[in-house]
Amino acid sequence: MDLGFSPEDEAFRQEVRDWLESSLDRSEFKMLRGRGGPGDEHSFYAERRAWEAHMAEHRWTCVGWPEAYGGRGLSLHQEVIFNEEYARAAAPGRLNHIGETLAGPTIIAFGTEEQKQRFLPGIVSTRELWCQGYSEPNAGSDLANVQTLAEREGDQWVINGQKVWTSLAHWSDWAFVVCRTSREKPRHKGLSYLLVPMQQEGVEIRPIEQITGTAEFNEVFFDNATTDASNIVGEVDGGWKIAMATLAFERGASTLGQQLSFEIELREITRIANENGAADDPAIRQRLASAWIGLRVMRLNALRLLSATRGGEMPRSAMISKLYWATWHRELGKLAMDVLGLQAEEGCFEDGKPALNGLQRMFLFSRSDTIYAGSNQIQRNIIAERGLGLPK
Amino acid sequence: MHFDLSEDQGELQRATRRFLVEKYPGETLRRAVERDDVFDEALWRQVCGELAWTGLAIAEDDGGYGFSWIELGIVLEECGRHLLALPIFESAGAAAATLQLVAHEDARKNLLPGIASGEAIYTCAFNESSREASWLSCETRARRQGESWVLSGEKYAVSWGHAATHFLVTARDDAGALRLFVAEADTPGLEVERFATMDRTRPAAHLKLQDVRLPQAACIDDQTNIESRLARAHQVATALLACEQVGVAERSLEMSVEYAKERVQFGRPIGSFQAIKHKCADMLVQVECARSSAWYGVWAASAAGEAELREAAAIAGVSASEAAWACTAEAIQIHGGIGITWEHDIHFYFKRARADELALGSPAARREAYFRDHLSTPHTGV
Repeated sequence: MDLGFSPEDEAFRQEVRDWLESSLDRSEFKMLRGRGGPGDEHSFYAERRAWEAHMAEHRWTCVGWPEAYGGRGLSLHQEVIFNEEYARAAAPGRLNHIGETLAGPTIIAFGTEEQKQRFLPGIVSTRELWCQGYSEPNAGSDLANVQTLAEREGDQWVINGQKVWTSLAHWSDWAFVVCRTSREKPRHKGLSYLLVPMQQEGVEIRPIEQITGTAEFNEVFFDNATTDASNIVGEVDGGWKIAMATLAFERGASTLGQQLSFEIELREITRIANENGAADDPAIRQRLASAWIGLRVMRLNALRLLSATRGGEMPRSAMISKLYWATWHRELGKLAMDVLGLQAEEGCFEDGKPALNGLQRMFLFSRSDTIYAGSNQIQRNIIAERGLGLPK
Repeated sequence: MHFDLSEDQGELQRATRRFLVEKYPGETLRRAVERDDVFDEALWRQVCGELAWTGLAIAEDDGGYGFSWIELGIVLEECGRHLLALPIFESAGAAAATLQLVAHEDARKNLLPGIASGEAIYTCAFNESSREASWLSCETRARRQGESWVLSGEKYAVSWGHAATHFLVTARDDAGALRLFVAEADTPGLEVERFATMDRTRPAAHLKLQDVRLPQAACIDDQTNIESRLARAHQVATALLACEQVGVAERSLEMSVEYAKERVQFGRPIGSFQAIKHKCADMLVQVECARSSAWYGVWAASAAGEAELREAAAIAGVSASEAAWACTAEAIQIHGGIGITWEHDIHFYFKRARADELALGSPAARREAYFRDHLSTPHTGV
């Protein structure tokens, strides 16, 4: 049992840190520190596009991918280090993240050679951005209830239906979309995983305004939208397995980067508490200590997860990850408001219009942490059924 | 970076579990509690001798087997699963750690072999408060009289006090400095008053020192930085106790899941109801967090520097205490009516968790100390 990183890993950490610091000090990227994250995805689009291109130019995109596909082939530890340093530098939220972490790995694992050659370079270069077409108004927790229909007509799929909660749809070139391709086979047995170009007449995008007053998410309407018949990953009616695999890619190396972001938030809240007198209240001190201890435990769980031997079964430390961090972060939002006290109400003005400050945005957006990517209730069902073997 | 048990550690865990499943089933514990005679001499000799548990974390030069606190932690977790009623934590854990960290070299060489072999049973008599455990608050006095020391004072709730052969005792000398002493159990003036503990699997006694005369050599510290070194020993003890608490918590979860699969009401196993599933899921989260914390604690006790151990122990103490309490309490709830019977084992776990929660300091006190140690001044970097 060993919790240290090797000298090679530490040297790599320094290399990443130096590159990020010097890049973010440049005048064209300075304004991006701490921007573009959850609840702030709408900000500085053009500048963040340029940032993505800058990362691609220096081969810092898709770092965990095999070198054959344009990545650096980093080990899991190095990927962890890269994500930690990225968060430590408060580097901007990644516009390319869905392609890099979800679409790309899925295509690498399940795609044809043609699909790999067609799509992977665009992700590595960041020239093509991706979004995820899963949820529908009637298929949230119950994803198998997807109704968006894809019918084969000649050498194309014709798609009709609606997706919801699609982040970055308005900026995306491609989407991976779970569609129903069989009217006879029930539920998840009749679904396929299609790759669909977003910039076409049959695709209409409407933003959804959230409680933050901003619109990170969208509704996407498919009205006889088309995609080439070859743009299907896996078998026809075999898309459920692919869709689940994509979700599994969401866990892993990036979680440690997320924890650094959380640490930056908690550090700020602790600083405020020490300065504004909130820390004079023993109850606040207890909650702050709990939050820090909880964050340390989050990191320990993630390190233990990364060290777990890779069998077929998902280790329990992986199953609890989302439930744990989402609950922790939602509580942090409330703690932030309680530390600020009455002043928590005070926002700011942007272009003459009322707007939220960072902690307010975090507080409001954190109410969705326990809902998206598998709600707390669904997570507990999965843990109980798959982790503990309790009957359905 | 490999935050998992090594192959050898995994084998130790499996072997320990096999032994306890066979030699210490629930009925054994229950009969012992009901006889009010929990200390099993034959079993003690077996675990100290053949199984070498008490020698695991003691250096070979000191009569042990030269493993680390991690190995002892693994054994203690298994002991926690079975609520093993033997003073392994007290003697081979807390007392051994105190000797290693606070005692001078001669004392270590003289005393540790007795712990390693199990011939001696040591327990730490430091705490004096009946409310909040502390190893550093001390009003017991040690006066010099010629070549001897004379100790007077009272220690509260010394774990396994009635069975110990030796006590480690803190007392303040004439200059008010905290000192460490060793006293044999039959020393005149040393009164061991066993009291009725709610957790009948871990007996305890109050210790009254009434002008207890000890030889000069009984003072075993080397006079430097005693308080910070005793604090470090407390951190090691905390990490080891956390391992026991993980065992208590996980076994409670397992019992709850087993019960939920078998118990049928409304025509279906109660484990098929979401309310029960969600309770079990939350318990699993607690157990996994406690395990990460406890392993980190014993790793830090073995391999990390002072600052890291201090933080790791705080994390382990809070996380494991919360988990053991929450899991055993929820386990009673899941078991329904039978969870409140003497006949079912779950109350033994509940009572052990309750006692462990405060044994080395309450979670609330730990959080307050964590704030003071780590959060009250601005940090300079992540």
